Amino acid sequence: MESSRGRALPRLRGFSIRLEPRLDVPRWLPYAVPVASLIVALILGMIPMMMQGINPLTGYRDMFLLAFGSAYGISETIMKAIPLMLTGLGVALAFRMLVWNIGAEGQLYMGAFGACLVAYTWPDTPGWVLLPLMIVGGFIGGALWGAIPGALLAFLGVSEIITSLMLNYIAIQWISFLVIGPWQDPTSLGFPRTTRLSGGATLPPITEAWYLPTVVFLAIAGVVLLYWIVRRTSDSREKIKLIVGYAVLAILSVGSIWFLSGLRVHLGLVLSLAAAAVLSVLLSRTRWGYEVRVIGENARAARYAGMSLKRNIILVMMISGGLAGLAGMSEIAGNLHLIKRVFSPGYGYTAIIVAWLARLNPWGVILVSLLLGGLYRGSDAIPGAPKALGMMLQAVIFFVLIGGEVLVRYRVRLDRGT
Amino acid sequence: MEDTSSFAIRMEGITKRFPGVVANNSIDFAVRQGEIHALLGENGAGKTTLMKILAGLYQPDEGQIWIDGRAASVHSPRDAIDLGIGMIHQHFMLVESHTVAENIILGLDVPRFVLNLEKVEREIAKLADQYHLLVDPGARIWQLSVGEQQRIEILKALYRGARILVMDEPTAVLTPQEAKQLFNTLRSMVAEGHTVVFISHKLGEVMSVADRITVLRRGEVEATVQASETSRQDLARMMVGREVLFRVGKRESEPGDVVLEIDGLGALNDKGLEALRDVSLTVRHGEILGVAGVAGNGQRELAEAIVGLRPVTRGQIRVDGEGVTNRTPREVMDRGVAYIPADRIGSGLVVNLSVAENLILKCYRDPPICNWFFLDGDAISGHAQELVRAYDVMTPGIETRTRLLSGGNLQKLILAREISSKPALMVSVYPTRGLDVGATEAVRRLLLEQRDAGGGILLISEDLDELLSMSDRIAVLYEGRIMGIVESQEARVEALGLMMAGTAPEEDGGE
Amino acid sequence: MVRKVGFLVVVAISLGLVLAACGTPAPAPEPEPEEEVMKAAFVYVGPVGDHGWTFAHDEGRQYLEANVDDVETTYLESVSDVDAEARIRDLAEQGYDVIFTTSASFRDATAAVAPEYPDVIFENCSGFLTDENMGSYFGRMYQAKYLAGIVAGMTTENDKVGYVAPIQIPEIIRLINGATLGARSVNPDVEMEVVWIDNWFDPPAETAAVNSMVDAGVDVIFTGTDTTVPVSTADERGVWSIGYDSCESCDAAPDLCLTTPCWNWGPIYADIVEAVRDGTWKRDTIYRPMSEGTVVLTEVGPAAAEGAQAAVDAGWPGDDVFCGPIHDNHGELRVAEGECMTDMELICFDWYVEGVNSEVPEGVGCQ
Repeated sequence: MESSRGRALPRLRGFSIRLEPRLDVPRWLPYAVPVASLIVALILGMIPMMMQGINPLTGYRDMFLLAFGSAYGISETIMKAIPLMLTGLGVALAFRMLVWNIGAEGQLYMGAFGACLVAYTWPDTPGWVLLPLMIVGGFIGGALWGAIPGALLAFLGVSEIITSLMLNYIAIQWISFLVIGPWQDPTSLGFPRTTRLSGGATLPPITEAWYLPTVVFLAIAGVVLLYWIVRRTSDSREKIKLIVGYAVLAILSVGSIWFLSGLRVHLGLVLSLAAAAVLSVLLSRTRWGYEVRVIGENARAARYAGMSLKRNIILVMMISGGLAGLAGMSEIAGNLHLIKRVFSPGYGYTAIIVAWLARLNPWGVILVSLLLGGLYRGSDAIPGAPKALGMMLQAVIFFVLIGGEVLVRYRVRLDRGT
Repeated sequence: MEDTSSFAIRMEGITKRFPGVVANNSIDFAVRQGEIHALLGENGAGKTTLMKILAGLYQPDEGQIWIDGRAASVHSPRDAIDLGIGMIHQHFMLVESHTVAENIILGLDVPRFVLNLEKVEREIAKLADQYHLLVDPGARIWQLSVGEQQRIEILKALYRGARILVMDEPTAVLTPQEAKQLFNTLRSMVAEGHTVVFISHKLGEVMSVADRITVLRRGEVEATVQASETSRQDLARMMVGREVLFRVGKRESEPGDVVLEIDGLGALNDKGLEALRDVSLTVRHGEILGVAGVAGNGQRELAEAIVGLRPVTRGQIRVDGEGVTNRTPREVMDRGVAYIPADRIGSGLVVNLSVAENLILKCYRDPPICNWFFLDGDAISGHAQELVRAYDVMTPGIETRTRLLSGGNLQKLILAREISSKPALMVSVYPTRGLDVGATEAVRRLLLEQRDAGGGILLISEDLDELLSMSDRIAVLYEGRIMGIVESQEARVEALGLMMAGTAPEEDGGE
Repeated sequence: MVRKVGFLVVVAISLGLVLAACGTPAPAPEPEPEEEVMKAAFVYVGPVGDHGWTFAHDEGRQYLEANVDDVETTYLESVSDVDAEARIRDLAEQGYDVIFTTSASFRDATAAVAPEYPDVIFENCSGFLTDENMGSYFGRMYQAKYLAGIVAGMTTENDKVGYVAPIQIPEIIRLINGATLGARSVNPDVEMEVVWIDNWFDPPAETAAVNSMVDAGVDVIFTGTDTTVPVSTADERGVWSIGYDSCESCDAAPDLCLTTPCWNWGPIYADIVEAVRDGTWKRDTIYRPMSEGTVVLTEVGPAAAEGAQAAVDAGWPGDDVFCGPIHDNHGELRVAEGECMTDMELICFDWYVEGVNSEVPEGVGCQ
């Protein structure tokens, strides 16, 4: 099964370091390695900081405080994390089936396009009608953009890596055309941007008014859960899991409103968490999720079991693109409130790293997005430091995190020489 | 103390632990200069691990190795090559799109800058001639048969100056003819002073080709014996630790109605060439129809065409009277056709999913497993527990990832899944290949039980013994044609062999 | 905010552990700055090392630190248009008293944040938009461009001058027009070519723009972007150039660079910060002419045509550069004799004067 060739590294005097494939990966290891990698990365990151004359400890402290040191900082970190979550979920789903969708960036742009098409067509519609329509529009925009490489792969066997990447550029140029052409704000003096969205077209930020609907929702969910536990589950472990999950949900949702109300975090966060929940249930508890997992692990077995590869490739690309489209929708409707030319700093590409570090697990995507959102925020916004320093730190951290992954699959052996 | 210099390989006290298992437990193993030494044992006995340690792929936790009488430390495949050890894996390490010559020099330090491929090709041709290894150095790997690819691997080892050749299950992928040819090559290599170690679990070939045999069982050496001083029964007992029956008890068959009817079938292989030409045959309920033939004569394509995985270009397939020609695998499955694919890991199972998840591969759409789009966890585990118990699958639990199961248990898992769907017809391809004696017996018994329960079985196998003992009738495939169908009681091995080689039975004049 | 620290601990566990390992103290609120120290923050559109627009602003910031007592400054460089709002809000959140956003691109972002922080003074450069606590400041650069145009018009041999234009907004139209009027005041045959790069800072595009214009026969290049790349590229191609932004721009091509209209922001920054400290700050649009020293034209270099320095010293004929008669490039009289354009018209400039060999892109101007 494993073409297990030990990889020999250069030999030191009397010692040789080698990588040997692990036959069995301890359960804790996939979690311990990223943590250790992060520590190593932070230590390495001290070098460019010191070269800039910044005390690394205060530098890191400042970064950390910017990202997590205040309610405001956390709110801004979540703002960065929301598009990462949605694109990351989309990418994770596609990767589960070994469909390499690297077009989340373009799908995000087309999602923004779809959502704004709705918003600009019916600007005076009240929010409770318009926002759902925009969500649908954003999802469809991204989904159609994802369907193109999906269909090309399914019917013609064209590599989706190439096509989805190429479509990114087309989508970005299309938005550029809109913001300096038909959709340009006439009052912008010529700056490339669209008109500000109407109040009904913006995702509302979290406020104290959310307590009531949240409590009502939790109550309904509690009743459903109770029914489920009593009637449908016999496994006691399953019961405990459900109860703990509900408790976490309740504490987190009420706690978030208390903590984040009055700040900028908006409905997009709820959208992302709901997407993660739906995706996680879809993957583990449904017929379709089972098909996706089987196809991803062994397409031949899937074909034999009568699963349609073509249909699922297109479907997965559409949902993956749709989630990225939601990211575009939420970024425009929740954060920027208008389209600017290149409005995403590469969320769709970072999503690949997010999905990968999260091991394609939906809840992992949420967690990793928060951490990377914090990293972005912390390193982007260090006052008085060169922009390049922040980018260098991001690069070092990504590099070491990804490089460290090799340790999950291989073990290092130090042999005394001959 | 023996004279160590007479040993090409001496391994002493080799212990290798993997998490949860001791793969090798203080093994002593010695191979004399210029002999063919067979390493025999059931799957999971530790044969491959021991040889991977020799080849530098694993490091032993304990133990010492001497090569040609000198203490050696083999830390990497490179060290092994420097010591003159060449290992040929079960799965070949060749670059498909490169030529033979390019593959052979791949990874070598010389030539450092300018590559004179013609010179390399001449050297390879000379070497091939010396050992009767017929290959075209300019051919590309994907154009070659499995047997030829194996020859390339041998040449690669020889070109690198290997004097000790280690082969892991070399005949697993070969036809009987190719295997015979391989053994001739090995003998001529030994005559030239090389030493050969080969891993096998096939008693017949071990007896016919090896000089000495070391039997491993559960990571320990059971015995090392001279081939001339032992018998198949002895070896089998040492391997499994008990007496083994070589013929499965079989009742007289009671064939019923026709379940599978194939008429004038044609299909193409993966390269777009004609693989099946005008194949016609029938299988009845309660009958096993064996299909014999040298591998690569259309067996795989026949099985895939029946189950809907391969488009049919001509002809008809009917199951219980209903046409299933060119239907999707799902539609064929729904008509009651089950399939035991040739490659268990590649297309029969999803090894990264759990045992329970693999067991629902065919019934995940329907109640009770799936209600309204949602999978029912309780139903899935109930289903799995029932099958694991009924089919005696050895697994730590139903949530265990399938890849951790042994080969025999993997096959039992597939059989459990397929038979539990109560199929009218079972298409079973090489069902016992690579299995140890115990598992082979279990699989054969399950197939016979299925037959006795009234199922029709199309049994494709390369093992004539198996076909003769299991089948009611035997069809022989040669170059995509049926050369003849005989009752298995009347079949003589020689006659089958002739048909497999392309000679029609005497009454026909041939074409 | 402090009441929410409890929840913070939960969210921060993972990274907090890492930082604890580094020996950093637990997150604590920043100590309040002492009463009399003024904290000023600058949001830059490019890197401080661009030797152009941002470099000039950063010189202004350093001037502020050096010349005004008890001022503490910081900056964020290369802030993208998309990020601007969040970054400006960050600085307001961090307790800066004055926040300078040094690009017209940041106008709307500044205007969006200003109402959220009524105690902070926001100042946006060149955006001409104000609010209760938001001012706007700029200098009449078109005057210096006019004078530089005189130098270019006298020096050009092919009568073709080119302008590397950044973003399609009225400010740039105004500067192109100023330069063109200046050049044609001494040489009526001069034509102005315009190439847009759609960015303030994009060295490869700037190089390409210069090359394309030189290939078309242009022999004096006006830099309109935030860098000295057009100056050095012109030097490589052997044609004259006019720098911009930083008064040291010509250092990039001392032989062929004719002169540089440049900024001297220090005094404005000092004035604004002092006004905020004294409580005399008022919502205002500052638009300083050359005479007040915010806009400067450097000494004309040796490569320029003879008499250029004298012509520059003579200045423009009327009260200001854009006084009639002025025709647009379709021959229509836009400003009658004896009239001058109002500031509002300048801010909304959406037509080219006679001699500009181009059309104003659609969407530019005030609708």
